[in-house]
Amino acid sequence: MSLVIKRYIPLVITFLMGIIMVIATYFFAPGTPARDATALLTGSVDILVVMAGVIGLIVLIRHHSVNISKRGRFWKYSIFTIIGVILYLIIGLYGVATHPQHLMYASDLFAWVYNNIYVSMDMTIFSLLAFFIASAAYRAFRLRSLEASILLIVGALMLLGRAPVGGAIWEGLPTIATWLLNVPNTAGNRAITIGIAIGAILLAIRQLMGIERGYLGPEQQ
Amino acid sequence: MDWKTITQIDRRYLYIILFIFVSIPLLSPLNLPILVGEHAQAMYDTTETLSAGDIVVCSFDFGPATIPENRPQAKGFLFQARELGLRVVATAFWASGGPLGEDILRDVYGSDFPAIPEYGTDVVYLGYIPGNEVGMQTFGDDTWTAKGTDHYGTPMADIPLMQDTRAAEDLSLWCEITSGTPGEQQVIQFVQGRHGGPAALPLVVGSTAVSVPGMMPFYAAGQIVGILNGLSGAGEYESLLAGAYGYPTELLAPLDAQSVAHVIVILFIIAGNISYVLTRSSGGKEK
Repeated sequence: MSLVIKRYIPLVITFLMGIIMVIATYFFAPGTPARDATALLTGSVDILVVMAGVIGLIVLIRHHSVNISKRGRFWKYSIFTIIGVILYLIIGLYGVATHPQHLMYASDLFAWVYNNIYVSMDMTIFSLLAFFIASAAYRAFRLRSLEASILLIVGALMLLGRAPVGGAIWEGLPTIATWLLNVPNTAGNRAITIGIAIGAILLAIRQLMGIERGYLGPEQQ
Repeated sequence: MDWKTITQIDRRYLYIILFIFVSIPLLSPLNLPILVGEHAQAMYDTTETLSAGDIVVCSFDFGPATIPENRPQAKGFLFQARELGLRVVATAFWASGGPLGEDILRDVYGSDFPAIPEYGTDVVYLGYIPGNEVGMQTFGDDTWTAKGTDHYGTPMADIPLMQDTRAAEDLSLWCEITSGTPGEQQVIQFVQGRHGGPAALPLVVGSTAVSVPGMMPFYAAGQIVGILNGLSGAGEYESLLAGAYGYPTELLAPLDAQSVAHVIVILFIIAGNISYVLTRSSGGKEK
């Protein structure tokens, strides 16, 4: 594949799309034809998302098929992954086939699989966090330094203040927890948020100018 | 085993202790009192200021993992909206939120939902809208473009409520039930910020507790006017709704379990630190 197709065309597309959105956002008021025209661009993202989904499906099946054929690491899990993906795909397509006027129709079987398999598994995995957090807090929260001690005390106040037991012990605990959220936390998070925003703007400018090319993949295959 | 070696305890014992103590209040609730904080009160008060017929959005942007926190928040908001006669446009910008949202709507509006008389006039469910923040932006700019039909395949033009819902300017409140991205920050950036700011489109948020610290700058700035902070926030909101509308309370036992879990974690931390201090004072090194 030539360098033009792999590098230059994506860079030109990125620059054009980005610059159009910047100009439309900052120089045209909402409701003007120029601004409305950008709705076509944002609307096209749906198509790109679908394409990305299809590519993701192909890559996933290819990756796990190779893993099975080579008897790679945890290859038995790959079998379950492929079976799960294909079965759910068939169930989903069946629902759409029976309701062609409604492309996002979820059949009863589709909903059953979602509610009784996926939901249960996802909730189970997330619930395990409670045990890991308890164990991690037990081992990691130490009075090693002034900073660690402050973190420990604030953490304990938040744990008590953000649960009904805090108010039952002393009515001031929820107030302290709310103050910690509203004042010191807001100050720290505001600084982080502003820093991230400035970083994101700089990254966007670098991408538009073609300086930052990481999203295109490695320079040489 | 003495205090110095307690940090070497097998973690599975900790898991068993936590499991047993959390199970007790779930089976036999302690009914600890719930004190309503300012964030939940603000969410309740903001919703109360709306008038019957106002259009509000309820967006289910979470997955199964956070159902215990997000579901009661969404359910409470929809209940309050129904009691106030607000018109609800429910949707989801997370694919996983689509089926979960429909389940919550059935809980609030009846198991026959959407086959209920008020569907299409007082409540509509658009289901999943793809595109993440871009989907949100399109929804705010031109709602009909974001999705051509509701969740059940009915064209927007055939839904009376959607005749009055063309863009963010038609909305009186956005309720974002979220546990990640896209979430409240994307609503602020791509909807609220493009359509008159918080004065024109107030935003209330129901969120997992772990995400709330990150949204406090937006609360301080007025871009978010009310927050339900995790399960405890949902419990506070529930107690407000119970007092005003006789809303059935469901969260007393889970909140008691949460309280017990928090106390257990603090006791673990204290035990771990006693061991740490004793080990250090005797010149040993913690393993």
